[in-house]
Amino acid sequence: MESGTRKVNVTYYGMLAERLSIETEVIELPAGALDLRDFFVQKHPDLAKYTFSTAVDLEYMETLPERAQPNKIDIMPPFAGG
Amino acid sequence: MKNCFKEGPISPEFIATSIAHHQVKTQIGAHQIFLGQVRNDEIDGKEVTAIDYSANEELANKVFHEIRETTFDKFDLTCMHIYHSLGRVNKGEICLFVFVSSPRRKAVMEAIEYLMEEIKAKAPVFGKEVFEDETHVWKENS
Repeated sequence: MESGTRKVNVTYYGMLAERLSIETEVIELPAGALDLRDFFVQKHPDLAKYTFSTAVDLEYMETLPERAQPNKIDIMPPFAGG
Repeated sequence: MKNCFKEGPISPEFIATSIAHHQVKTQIGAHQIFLGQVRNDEIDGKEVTAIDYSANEELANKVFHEIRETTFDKFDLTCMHIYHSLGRVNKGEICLFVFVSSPRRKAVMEAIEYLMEEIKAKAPVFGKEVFEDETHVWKENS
């Protein structure tokens, strides 16, 4: 991997997958710390209409640290369990 | 890590069998059970006939495991089981089965309340409320 680039698998769930018509994609993250909501809203502007949470490698996370090299990011709509 | 999901509704027979399995654990003096059931809400004049559940299963099972560990730390429990449905669950059917056991009554009553709040807030489970005409809206925990 080139210095400063981070490729990651992204999975969209539930309502968000339906509304964006996308379930998975591989994207390249820019260097530096990253506000995940801001980043994904910029990538998919329709996301701005929705509440969503983010997880990185199975940990809930809102900001990706500068040096993180994640494998997987999950984009999830509000929960409805139970 | 334990898989807490079951495809389709959770049957009364499964629940009864789970209870029966605890009869050999004679140090237990109290069980508490929470059953979530699909309700036929009316939304914009249409009746919900089912909920179609999906989940971020890997993360959800990790979250269930963490909730279980925290709950065992907080309360004097002997056993704890969590099962959630995936896929279509019709109105009137059971979609969530939470079962805790303890030597004492107070612990299970407090634990079940804590567990339910944690599950609803933290488990990445998603639900489509399906109407008779097969259209749907997405459910959101309040």
